[in-house]
Amino acid sequence: MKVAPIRQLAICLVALFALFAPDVCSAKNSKAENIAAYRHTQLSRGARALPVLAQLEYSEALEFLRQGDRATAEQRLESAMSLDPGFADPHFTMAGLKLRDFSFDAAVYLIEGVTLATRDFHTQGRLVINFMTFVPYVLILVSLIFCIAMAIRYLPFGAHRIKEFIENRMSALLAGPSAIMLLLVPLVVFPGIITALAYVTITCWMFMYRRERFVLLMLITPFVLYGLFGSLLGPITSIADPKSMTSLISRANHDPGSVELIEAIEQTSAGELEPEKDMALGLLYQRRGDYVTAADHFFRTISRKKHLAMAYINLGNVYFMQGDYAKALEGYRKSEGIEPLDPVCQHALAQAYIRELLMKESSKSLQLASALGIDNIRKSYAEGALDNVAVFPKTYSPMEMWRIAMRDSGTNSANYFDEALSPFMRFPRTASAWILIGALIATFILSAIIKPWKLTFQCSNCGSLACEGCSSDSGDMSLCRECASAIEHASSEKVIAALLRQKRHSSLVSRRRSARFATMLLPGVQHFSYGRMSRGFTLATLFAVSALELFARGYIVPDEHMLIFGKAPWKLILPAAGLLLAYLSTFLSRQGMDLRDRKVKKRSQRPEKKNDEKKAVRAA
Amino acid sequence: MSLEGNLSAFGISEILQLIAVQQKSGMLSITNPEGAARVLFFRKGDIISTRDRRRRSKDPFKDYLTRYGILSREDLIRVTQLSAQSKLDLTDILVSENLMTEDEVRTQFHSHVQESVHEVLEWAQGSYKFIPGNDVISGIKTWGEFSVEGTLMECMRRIDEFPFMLELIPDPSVVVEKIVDPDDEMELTTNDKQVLNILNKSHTVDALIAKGKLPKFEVYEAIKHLNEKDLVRITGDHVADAQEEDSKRSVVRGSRRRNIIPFLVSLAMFVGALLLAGKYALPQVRTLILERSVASEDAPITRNRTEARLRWILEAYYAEKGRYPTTISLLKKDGRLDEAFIDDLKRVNLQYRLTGNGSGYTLL
Repeated sequence: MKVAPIRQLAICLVALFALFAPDVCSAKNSKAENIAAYRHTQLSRGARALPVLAQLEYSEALEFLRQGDRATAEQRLESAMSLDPGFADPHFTMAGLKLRDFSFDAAVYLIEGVTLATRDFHTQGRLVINFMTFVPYVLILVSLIFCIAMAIRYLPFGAHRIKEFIENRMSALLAGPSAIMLLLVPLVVFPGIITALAYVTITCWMFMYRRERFVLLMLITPFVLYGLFGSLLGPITSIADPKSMTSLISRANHDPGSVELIEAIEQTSAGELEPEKDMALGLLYQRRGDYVTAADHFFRTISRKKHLAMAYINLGNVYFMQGDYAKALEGYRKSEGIEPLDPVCQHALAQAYIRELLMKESSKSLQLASALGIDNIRKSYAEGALDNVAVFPKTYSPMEMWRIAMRDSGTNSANYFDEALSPFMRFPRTASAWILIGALIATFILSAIIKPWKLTFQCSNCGSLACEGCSSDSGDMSLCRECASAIEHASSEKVIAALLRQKRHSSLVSRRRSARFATMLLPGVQHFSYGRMSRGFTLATLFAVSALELFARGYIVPDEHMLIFGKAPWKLILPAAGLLLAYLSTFLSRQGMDLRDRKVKKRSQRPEKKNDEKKAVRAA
Repeated sequence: MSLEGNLSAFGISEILQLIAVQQKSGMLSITNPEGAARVLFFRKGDIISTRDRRRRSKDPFKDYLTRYGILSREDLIRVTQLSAQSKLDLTDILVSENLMTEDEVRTQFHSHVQESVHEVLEWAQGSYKFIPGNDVISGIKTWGEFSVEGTLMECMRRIDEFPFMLELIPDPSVVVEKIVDPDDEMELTTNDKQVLNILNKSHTVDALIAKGKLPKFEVYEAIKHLNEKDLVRITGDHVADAQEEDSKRSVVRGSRRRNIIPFLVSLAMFVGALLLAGKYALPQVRTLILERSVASEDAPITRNRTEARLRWILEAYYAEKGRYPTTISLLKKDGRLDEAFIDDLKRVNLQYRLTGNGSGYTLL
């Protein structure tokens, strides 16, 4: 069947219209009208604050600032503050603006911003998550730097034995590079910090000095502890996961009863937190105006926790909204019996007393509520939000939220750190711990089995690598092949000393040159590889902190309930300065390439081999 | 300021005397028309060395030691190697390695200085250059300070006497033969005894010079003395001495064929490991570093966080537009989402659907 082209076009146009019609239609309403409507809807549902609108205002304020319109920007910032009194960012921006005028208000805004940023459970949680993510990331970077330093320093020791083996047994061409490649294969196949630490432990431990071993153990320990006891970090997961019961309850504290949140809470298993779940649902249904369901949830909470004052207040609120002031008063009085010094309860009592025309009691409760700080609760409401509020809902305080988070830890099967660290660790948490423990055990066993003189050591003269097969004893020294051949034709002590001195000098110069370039790439590597552990650790940490901060430009785990992330100049300048300082310290430090003289027993001092003893017995 | 000029205008003996009189320190280099060069070092007017230590120059003392059989060629090679490796002076090594005593080194050093000055005085033409200053002679190893006056006088004596010696020994290839052993009462110099000791059979003069451990002039002088005392006889026969050929030990280096298989196996393993890592391990790290994301289907918390962020952005869109967007790409057009976040949505497999004519949505 043929369809005429015009008809085809018409069908397409209709389809396109159907697809985009809603957007086209919505464009009829202006942005201001839409925002006003949204604001009205939210406030009528009992929203305490309007964070979305506040963030939109804030982003517009920043845009005005970029355009140089400071007056409008300040207006928008003030507006953002009034829309969400708990929103800290506008305070910081305002503090910056006031600082340019050298106004004292800058300090006021700054203090207020800091207070807000640490007052709310949600913001407290963001700070904790970021700190708890930042620390392991820094630890991973520092460990990586340490591993690189130790690999540069000690990997050639292991490679030397392999090189000697394949050179002697197979007369191999390019034995040195072959040995290095063979040694690196396991690390390349399983890249990750766990592999790197285990690898460095096994390959380098036997050559390390005590202080290096101490640092290695210090770096391994947190990973092992995390692997074995990582499940104890459950509360962090509860805060980080927006779908955890803790996060949902936290949202229910402020949410104006959105269906999405109610559904999410209902679908989430609560475990120990059933009373809190019911409380959250009750609050949400109450804000939606579904008082019957709300009361039902509050009753369920009370049935599980008979002495929960909060449930009685909110149940009282439900009756208050329905006009049943006597029942409301009963609820409030029960709550007062449990927590007499709760400002919300006292305020609600006062309101109920007024409705019951008990003015004296009302006045007394109001005074008490005022003394207990009801004004602070009032201030946490957005402008206009109080118009619809006769009594305040009782919500969870930050301290109570932390307790909930601690109890919620068992309900999450996922672990936030497993996800955050998986790209670096490459193995499951517990497996990582056992890999590291296994590496340590293997190392201790190898250390006990392998005699020190069977290992690669450094030439007593020049520090070049040598082993039993390629070294020779001269006086008190074990010399490498090159040093031994250099003094082969000399007999006098003076000449031998001069020859060894020259060899040592040339060897050290070339090694220092090659090591200098290799160790300058990352701050800390140079110091670690030259045995300056504390300085190396400091520089590596400075580098790691600065690099991470520069990479993240603020929070490493940004708030998912944030539309705009401020990119203040200090977030660039401070970490950049830290990086610069770390690299300058590396470039300017003149580390002496010390000769790590390993005390290796001379052949004559070593115990005879058992086989030799047996042969001697047989011969006798 | 250096002093330089031509030997035809100003003789070398005058130059030497001038330096000695003025007690100058520095270096005098003399070059003859054939290109041969000699160097004399002075400290306060005395000659301290004639060993040329300049770059690209040969140490004439080494040549002197082998020419007169004081040091064998093998020993010289060994000592030169040791000197180069240890940065010690040749003479120090000779003493340390017990190849010569200090007295022997001092005597030979003096003889070498004498011979060098003698040689230079015989040059009729050439150029000279004197560079004064203590810097020039710093680090010069010396085994004595020899006065110019004494050295010149000895040289003049040799120049005067040598023609008479040449009359006796016109050709160094002539044979010298011992006639009788000397009496105990006969007075012989040390050099005479030394030459006589070598002459247990017939030798050419050249051979005597090579074995005598004495400078040429002194060998000639000793032969002359011994001849005058009828202890030796010089015959005109030209005997072709069997030249001692240096047994050039051709060091046959063990030309073991090197095995390349271990290297190829190692390379294959390494490249294989790199490919494995590139396929399985690095993409996640790359995503984390370049796109700052740990999002994947195996990361439920990250998925929840991505979903929560999307919901928040949708809420903002709704607040401004009065309805939810038809597709996620509209949020990108608006500048509310960036490419990285869109990629994250794909990684966590989150799909957006509009419901209820724009008043709601579902995320699957």
